[in-house]
Amino acid sequence: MLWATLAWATDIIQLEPPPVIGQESTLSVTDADGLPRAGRTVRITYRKRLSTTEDRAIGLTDGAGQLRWTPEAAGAAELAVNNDRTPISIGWRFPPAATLLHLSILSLAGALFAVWGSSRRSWSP
Amino acid sequence: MWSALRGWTHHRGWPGFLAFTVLACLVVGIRWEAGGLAALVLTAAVLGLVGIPLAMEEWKTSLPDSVLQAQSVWTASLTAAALAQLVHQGTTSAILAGTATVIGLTTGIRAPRLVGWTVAAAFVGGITQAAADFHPPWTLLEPRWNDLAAFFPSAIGVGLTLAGAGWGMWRPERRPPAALRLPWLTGALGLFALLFAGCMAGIRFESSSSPSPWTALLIVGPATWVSQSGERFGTRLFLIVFALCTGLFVWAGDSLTPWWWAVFLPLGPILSGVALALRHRKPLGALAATLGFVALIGGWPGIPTTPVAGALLVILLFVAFTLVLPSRRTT
Repeated sequence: MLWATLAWATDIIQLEPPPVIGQESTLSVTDADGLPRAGRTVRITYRKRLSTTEDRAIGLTDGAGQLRWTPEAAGAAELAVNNDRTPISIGWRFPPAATLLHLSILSLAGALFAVWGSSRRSWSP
Repeated sequence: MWSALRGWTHHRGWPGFLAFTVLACLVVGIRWEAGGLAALVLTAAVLGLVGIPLAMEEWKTSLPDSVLQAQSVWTASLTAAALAQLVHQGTTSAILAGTATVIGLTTGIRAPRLVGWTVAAAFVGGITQAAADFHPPWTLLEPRWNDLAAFFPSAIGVGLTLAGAGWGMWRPERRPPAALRLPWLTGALGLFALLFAGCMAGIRFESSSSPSPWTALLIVGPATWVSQSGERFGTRLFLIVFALCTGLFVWAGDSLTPWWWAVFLPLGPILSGVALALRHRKPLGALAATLGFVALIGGWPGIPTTPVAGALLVILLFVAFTLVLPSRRTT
């Protein structure tokens, strides 16, 4: 099953299966009529617009307009073929542990603040 | 929790509600792109260790008027800075429209049951659509401590002012009893609001698309429910704040709000203003209609370019204000 069809002025990118970190996907580049685009340079920008953004070349499409690619990072990213850019989302295998830890700390802090602030003693004159 | 909220509204009233709007504006100051949840953890640390204790101490201490005035100016400046950031992001019109609608719906309209059920069905549709578009918000929320310099100033600023601004400290003449611990509660609500804002921003960051029109119904649904919830004011207040924050965060950072939405939303407060005016609640009706007017001006996609559009706008405003502003009796 095709995960997505990403179209712009001249090229269409198809990814199968949906991109997940560490798992290989086949990236196909065709024109609007479905004809393969060979020799296209494909680049990926991980974490676009963030402080940890990272730009890398994936490679060139072969004669069938295809390219095998294994995402090295998960999350929001941007594919670029020549000067055309398209946002994609690369799946996570597991929720990131550091993020969950920070979420837990913040939730606990908020709960403690709320319990302390709404305790009955606070309403005594 | 509810008794605390009731106490809060008893002491704060509308100034308190406006204070929460200020709080929501401060929420936008978090630099999610720079630090993710690291920025929020730093904010929470400053909030718990300095911001809230400072707010508590200020309530207990009788400060000279000059200090209070200077504090008011300072807080107002911070608020202006937060609003300027919203303007820079191009979201002011959408936020004004969303805020005005929520306030209007929650204060004015008592929707008939049929309308309520219709909106409830639309609300379910909104949730379904939102679930279909859902992406985990991990990319934006990923803690990035290595870029501390980028988010340190904003985290310090929000952490120091969150409790005070949310508590309405910018109106020092409306002081509650000093024994209260409500700055802690305000800080907690602010912290959860920040978490919610971060999650919303993260989900939208992943999807890279403008919010679905269905998402807007996530606001209208609770607002309508609130309008039908009777006189349980604590509950109503909580849901008002929830709906308001939802409206703010759904559109925060978005410059692609559909044009029709900015036109549609102001009708809510205008209609609610009319409804209030007909029930002789003139000041509240005037407030709702004024918010609607501001939203209409701020959210309008452009100055009407045709005589018909211009005439419709003039008629709409004329009818709204004619019904609301002339007053025989005020409350």
